Amino acid sequence: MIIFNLKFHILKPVLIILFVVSVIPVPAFSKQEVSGGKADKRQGDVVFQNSLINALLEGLYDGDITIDQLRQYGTLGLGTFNRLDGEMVVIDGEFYKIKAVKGLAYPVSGSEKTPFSVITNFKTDFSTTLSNKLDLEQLQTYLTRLLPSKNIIYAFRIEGHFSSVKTRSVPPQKKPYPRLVEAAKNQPVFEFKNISGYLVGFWFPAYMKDINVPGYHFHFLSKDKKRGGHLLACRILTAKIDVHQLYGFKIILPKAKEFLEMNLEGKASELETVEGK
Amino acid sequence: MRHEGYKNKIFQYSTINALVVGIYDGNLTIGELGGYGNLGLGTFNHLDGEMVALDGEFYKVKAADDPDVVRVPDDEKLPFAVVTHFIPNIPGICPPRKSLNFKELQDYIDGILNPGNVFYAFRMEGNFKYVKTRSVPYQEGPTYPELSKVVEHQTEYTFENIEGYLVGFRFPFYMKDINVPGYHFHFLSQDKTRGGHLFECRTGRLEIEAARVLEFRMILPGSEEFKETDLTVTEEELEIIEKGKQKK
Repeated sequence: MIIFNLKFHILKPVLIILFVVSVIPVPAFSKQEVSGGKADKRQGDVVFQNSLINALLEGLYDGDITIDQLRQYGTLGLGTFNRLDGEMVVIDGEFYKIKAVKGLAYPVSGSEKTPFSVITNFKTDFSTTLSNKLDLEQLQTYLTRLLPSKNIIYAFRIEGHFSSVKTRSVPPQKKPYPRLVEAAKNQPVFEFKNISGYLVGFWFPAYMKDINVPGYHFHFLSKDKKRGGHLLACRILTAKIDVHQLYGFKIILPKAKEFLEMNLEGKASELETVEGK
Repeated sequence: MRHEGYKNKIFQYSTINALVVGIYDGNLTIGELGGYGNLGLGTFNHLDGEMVALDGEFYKVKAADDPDVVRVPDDEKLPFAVVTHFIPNIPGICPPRKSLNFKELQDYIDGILNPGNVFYAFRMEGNFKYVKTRSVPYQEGPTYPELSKVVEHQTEYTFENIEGYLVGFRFPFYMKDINVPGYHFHFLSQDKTRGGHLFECRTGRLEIEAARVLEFRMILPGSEEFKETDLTVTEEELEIIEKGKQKK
C-alpha cells in the first residue's frame, strides 16, 4: 500500500490518492492539472547559475562570485568552491561546504568564492509524500512521471529518512588544475547509514546539456547539517518532495581569460563519468 | 559591482529550437520586451515577419508582396525574441577599409574581437552596395508547419545602394539549442522602410559598435505547446533556416 499526499499550490485542492501497486508508482493526474491555467510565469521564478558545467569539466575552478553575491539569487542550490574545495549545498538560505574529509559539512563564509553554482529562490509549486522504499534510480523514474514537461527547469527540496546515502566530495586542487575527469578519479566516497536529511537539486532539459547537468543532479545534507556531498546513490525510506517549476534562467559567464578559448562542447560522456551516472 | 564595463545583459524569450519546431505563438508582448532591451531581433506570433529592435523602437519587416516595414504596437506578441540594453563597450573598432561581403564581415569582426565563448551584441550603421534579406509569411495556425517548411515560401529581398543598420548578436556554439550559434543579424534601412533577416551583403562605409556581454537571461514560454513539443533540432535544419541554403 502506497499513499500519496499531493498538494498543488497552483490549484489548491488537496488530492489524496491511494495506489495499490508493487512497482514504481505512477501519479494519477494529467499534465494539465499540474501546470494549471497560468500562462507564462515570468517574474521571480529564475534559476541563476555562474559559469557552465562544461567550463568546470575543463578545469576552470576559480570564479569571481562570492557567496554573499550568490546569496542574492536564491535560497536553494548546489555547486562547488574555488580550487574545487568541496561540494556546495544551499538549503533554506543556508550555505554549507562538504569537504572531502569524511564528508563533513561546514558553514561557509560570505567572502568565499565559487567557480560554478546553481541556485534559485525556492518555492513549492507542488509536493508529494513518499512512504515506500526507493533507490536513486527509482526516485528519478518516479519524479520524471511527476514532471509536467521535459522542456522547463525544476528545483527539488526533498526531506526524508534514508537507510543509506552514498556521496562524494572533491579535495582542493593545486595549479595547474587537472581537468575534472582527472580530479574526480581521487574523489573520496562516503556512505551514511540510517540517516535523516535533505536532497537539494535540479532537473535541466537536454537542450541545456553544455550549460548544466542534463536530467537530475542532487547534493545531500544530513538533517543535523554535519554530513553531505554530491549524491551518488541512496535508499529512501520516507520522504516529502517539494518541486518548483522554473521558466526563467539566468547565467553569468566567467571573466577569466582562459574561459574564452575553452572547448565547451560535446562533453556528455565525461560528464556522466564525473557525475557518477 | 561586478563586471564593470560589462553592463549589457542579453534577454531572450523562448528558444531557437522551439521556433524551429513550429512554436510560433508566445505570450510576451512588445511592451514587456521593451523593458528588457532597446536593440535586438526576433519574430512575431503566427511567424508574421521579422522583428528588428533599434534604438528602442520595434519594427516588423513583412513578407510576401508587402515589403513594407511597420512600427509594432505594444500589445503585439512574440514567440521568440533576443534583446539587450545596448551599451557599446569595445572601443576603437575601425570601419573596414574595403568592401566586405557577409562572410568577410564576420571574419573581420572575429579578427578584432577574438570572440571565444562569450556573447556579443552589435549595432552597425552604414551604406551597402547591396543587401539580401528574407522575411517569413504569416502562418494561419493553430497547428503550424516546421520552420524549415515555412522558409521554402519565404520572401527574399535584394536592396541596392542602401543606407541602413545591422543589429544582431554572436552566440558561442554551446548555446546552439537555445540561440543561433555564430552571427545573426537583421537589417533595417535608414528610412525604416525596408529590412529583414540578413542573408548576404556587400558593405560600403560601415561603423561597427559592439558590446561584449557576460549576462544572459531567458524566459521559457508557459504554453502547453512549448511544454509538450520535442525540441530536438538538427544542425542542418538550423543551417537551412538561418543561411538560406535550401534554395534551388
